[in-house]
Amino acid sequence: METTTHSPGVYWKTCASLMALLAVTWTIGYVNLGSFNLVVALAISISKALLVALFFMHIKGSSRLLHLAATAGVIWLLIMFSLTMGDYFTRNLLQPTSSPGLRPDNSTVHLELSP
Amino acid sequence: MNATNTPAAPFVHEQFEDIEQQRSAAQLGMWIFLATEVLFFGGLFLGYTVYRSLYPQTFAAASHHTEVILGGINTGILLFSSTLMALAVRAAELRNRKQLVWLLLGTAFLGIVFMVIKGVEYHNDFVEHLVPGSHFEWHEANGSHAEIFFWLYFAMTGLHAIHVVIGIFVLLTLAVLAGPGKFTTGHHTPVEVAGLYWHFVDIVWIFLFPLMYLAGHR
Repeated sequence: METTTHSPGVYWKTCASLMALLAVTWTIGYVNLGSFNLVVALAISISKALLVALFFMHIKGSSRLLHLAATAGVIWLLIMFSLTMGDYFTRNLLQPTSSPGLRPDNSTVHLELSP
Repeated sequence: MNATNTPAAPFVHEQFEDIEQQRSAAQLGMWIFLATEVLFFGGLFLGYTVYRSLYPQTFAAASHHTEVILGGINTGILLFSSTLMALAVRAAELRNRKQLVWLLLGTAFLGIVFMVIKGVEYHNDFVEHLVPGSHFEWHEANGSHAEIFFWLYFAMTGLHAIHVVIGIFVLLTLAVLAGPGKFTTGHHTPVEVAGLYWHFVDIVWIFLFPLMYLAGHR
């Protein structure tokens, strides 16, 4: 019988990979890598999400229409993030002293998000 | 009437040519719904990104007050439940009724275990005065910034928990219907589409775990 699903071995291998990546992300959470902690954590999360999407959700081997629908949400998410963060990261360039841009936590300036 | 047309199976709705067309329409519909869900959760992830970049030290400090052991175990539970769900879709396609019912029940059971552990976590957070509002207490620096972290923590894990609860009800309904063989006679689309939803909820948690429990390093 022709199937659209994979053999159980594929699912168990995916499961083992996901658990291994969970162990890595959990362990790295206790190591001080500075700002790289976030980079590594996100890289691992993206890998795990891809494994789930490709094998559990059968993006691998599905139609191009579904590939388009699946990537559309991610693309719009990236647009939302880049426009919003582009705004926050560039506010200080215009008014260095008074605008509520992104400053470090220990800044003595009291931060408020309303103008 | 064209006599060469094969009679449509009873589960094909009249607007579809055949079961394959109906199946791909259902899949596309679910994927489009999931794209809207990406943006629904995305708004909260964006809020998290903005405030974490404003207050990185406080977010790391606040993150240390979450229950990383329980959160990590819950991540493993959801990953394993997704594996069972994927096997359930396979069992449905191969018309293995008994296996399908058990895999659906197993997936739902792991969802319930996830919710119980989440409930224990929420209880501990409440006892430790980490719930934002008049009850909130913070003995380190920048209490108002820590409160923002916990607003986001409860909003994001709470919205995720609502999705898990909905998923549990969907899975239990499917298990009840699968018992008499509804999805093992050539029509397994509902199981497949519910599976997509369950895997999506898993993916959301894959991102929530490091962002909520492992911000900074512990």
